[in-house]
Amino acid sequence: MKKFLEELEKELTKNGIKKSEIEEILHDHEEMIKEAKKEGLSDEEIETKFGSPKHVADELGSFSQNEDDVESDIEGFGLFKSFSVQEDFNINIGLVDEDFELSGEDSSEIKVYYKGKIDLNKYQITFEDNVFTLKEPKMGFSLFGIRRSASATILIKIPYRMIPQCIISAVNADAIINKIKSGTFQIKSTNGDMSLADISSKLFKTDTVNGDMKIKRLKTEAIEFVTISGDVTLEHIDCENNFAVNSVSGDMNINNMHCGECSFHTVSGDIEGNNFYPTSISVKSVSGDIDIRNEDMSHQIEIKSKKSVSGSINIGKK
Amino acid sequence: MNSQFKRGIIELCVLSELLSEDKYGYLIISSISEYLDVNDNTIYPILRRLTQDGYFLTYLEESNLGAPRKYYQMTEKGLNYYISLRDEWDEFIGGVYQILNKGGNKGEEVLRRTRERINKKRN
Repeated sequence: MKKFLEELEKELTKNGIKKSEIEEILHDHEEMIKEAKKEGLSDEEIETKFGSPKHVADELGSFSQNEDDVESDIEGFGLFKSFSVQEDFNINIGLVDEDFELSGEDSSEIKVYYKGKIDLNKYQITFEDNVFTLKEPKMGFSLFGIRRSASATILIKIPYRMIPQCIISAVNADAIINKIKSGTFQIKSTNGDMSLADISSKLFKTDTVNGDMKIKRLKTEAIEFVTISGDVTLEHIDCENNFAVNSVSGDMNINNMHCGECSFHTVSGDIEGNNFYPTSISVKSVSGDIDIRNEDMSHQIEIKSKKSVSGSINIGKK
Repeated sequence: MNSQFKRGIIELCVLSELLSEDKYGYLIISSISEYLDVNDNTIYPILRRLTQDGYFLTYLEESNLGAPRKYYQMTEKGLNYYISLRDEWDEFIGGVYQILNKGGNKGEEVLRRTRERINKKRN
């Protein structure tokens, strides 16, 4: 038993595992080996059952993070990769389970940081032909292929410059997105909560299932919104042309928004607007209501069409 | 067999072991290695990782044989993880069996006919 533990300690140290962790691991093994001895197992049998010390240490080492030796300018985060950027570039992000933050800043580098237990080496993180790509590892058999790292966060800092195409898709991930200037901004989210701020784009497209979405300070030419059941909060939105919403049961809460025609298709979602100034509204709903309270009543809102079973449109003074 | 794939299976087994009762490390390893060859997929690292991720809690309890034992207990998060993993497994293995059964069972007759067909082509 002593030999096993000694060897295990050696291997764990070699793999750079923290001292406090090593102690715990050794302690656990001491307990287990005692049990095994009590059952009369030989040393070889023990090794078959527990794995060789090297094997155990390698398995543990590949998931333990050695945070001490990662250099980073952001506290609590390690820097994984950086790419230097010379001109406008596109973004393509697709993540499952990892929370992430994407934000623009004055710099000429894309930087990918991480926090928590995650092996970014398994991800596709590239910058080729002016496209920044960050994708889940490809595995034939998803859940059994890779470990879900429920506690990891990825932070992506990008230069604040024109992104002709910014495409983001997230499943089970919460995301924060700040300061993006783009042509087409497209975000697809399932289950995660999204929080966006300071976005400018020509076309702003979202597609959400279940997750809530908060958008603050968006300046765009057109909005296409599709939501199944997530709730949406919009604040300080400036949309030159159409604001098209397609919702099954998600509600929308709008504060301070100007837009062209607002076309609202819903089964049972409601729109509640405060200082919401579309030039016109067209509604197709089963039971969804639109309720608008505005300070400036001189701003006329034309009701273009209304097809509704039991929904209503109310526009009144705040 | 692909070791990542196998690791996923062991993970599912470890979660399953703690479904009905709290168990100590050695017991978990013993119960699994009784049925599966775990030689190249050690259980302890998986157990430890699942614990670190909040799927299990641990506590010490005195045993009548001397030193206290570390018991592992499933958390709500662990249970949810088990359910999702189990769903995926059932779906996968169900699909595999659908395919295999289409080919017929591994009975003598099926094997004989296949062998015959192979040989015929060769001639």
